[in-house]
Amino acid sequence: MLEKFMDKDLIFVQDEADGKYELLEQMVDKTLGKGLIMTREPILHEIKKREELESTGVIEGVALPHARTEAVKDLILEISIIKNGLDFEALDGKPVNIVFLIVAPEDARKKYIKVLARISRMCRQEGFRDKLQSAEDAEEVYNIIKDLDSE
Amino acid sequence: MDNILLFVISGEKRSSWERAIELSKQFDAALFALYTIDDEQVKRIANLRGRDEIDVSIEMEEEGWKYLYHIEDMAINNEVKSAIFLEEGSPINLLKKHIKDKDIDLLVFDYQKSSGGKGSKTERMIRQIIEYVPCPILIEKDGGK
Repeated sequence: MLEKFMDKDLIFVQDEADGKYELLEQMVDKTLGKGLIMTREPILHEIKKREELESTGVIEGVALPHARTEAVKDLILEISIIKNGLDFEALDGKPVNIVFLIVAPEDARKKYIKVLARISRMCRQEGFRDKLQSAEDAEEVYNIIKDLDSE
Repeated sequence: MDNILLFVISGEKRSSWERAIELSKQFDAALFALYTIDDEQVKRIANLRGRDEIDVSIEMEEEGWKYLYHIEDMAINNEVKSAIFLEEGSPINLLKKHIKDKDIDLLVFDYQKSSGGKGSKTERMIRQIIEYVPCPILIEKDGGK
């Protein structure tokens, strides 16, 4: 189910990130580069507005920033692995190693919930987060998720 | 009061959601919303309906996200700082864990008569919550009526 929303060019593996918003900007810029969005500002604005007030703490070490905006035509899923962790300003104060960014149009609520439910289910499976954290590149991350998703 | 936990019970009306947001705003407290997938309940429903446990669990999970997503929207519209959590396991144990980990000052949830009669699973869970949860509790009765 997740495979159709994943794109290897929108998966990033890095040791560190400068900060939460820097990472989110970097992720949104990639979608701009891929031509999936025309302009980054409305999306960044929506994400930041939400992030200032909430954090989606599905499971320890995982962040799920998201936004609904008409600036996208279909749901976009981006994944970042930050090996050394990043202070995501979560209310529980714990660092994050895995970030799933979901941007969806207003009318894609059902699709969004299905994707979110699938991601959170995966993240609760034993060993999944460790596997993602030790992945070397986007290809490996893609295959880990694809394999588990098709089980 | 710094931290409020809203325990989201499946099928509940929204008065506890509104109450929790209202209190969070009033006290400038952080709001945590927790939905649990009770593994025993999953087994029971699967047995009763002759369905696969995984399918039942996925359905409950999607339902949970729907509620949490709505609460998150409500919190953002009210400028309340919030975080949403969905976890699988024993609701009582998960509640105790979150209350301890997040230093919760108040637990809020709904109680509806339609949730089941005396001795029902929901009634037993509510009694357990009252007995074992180590923080003050606000119960919104029958959708606030």
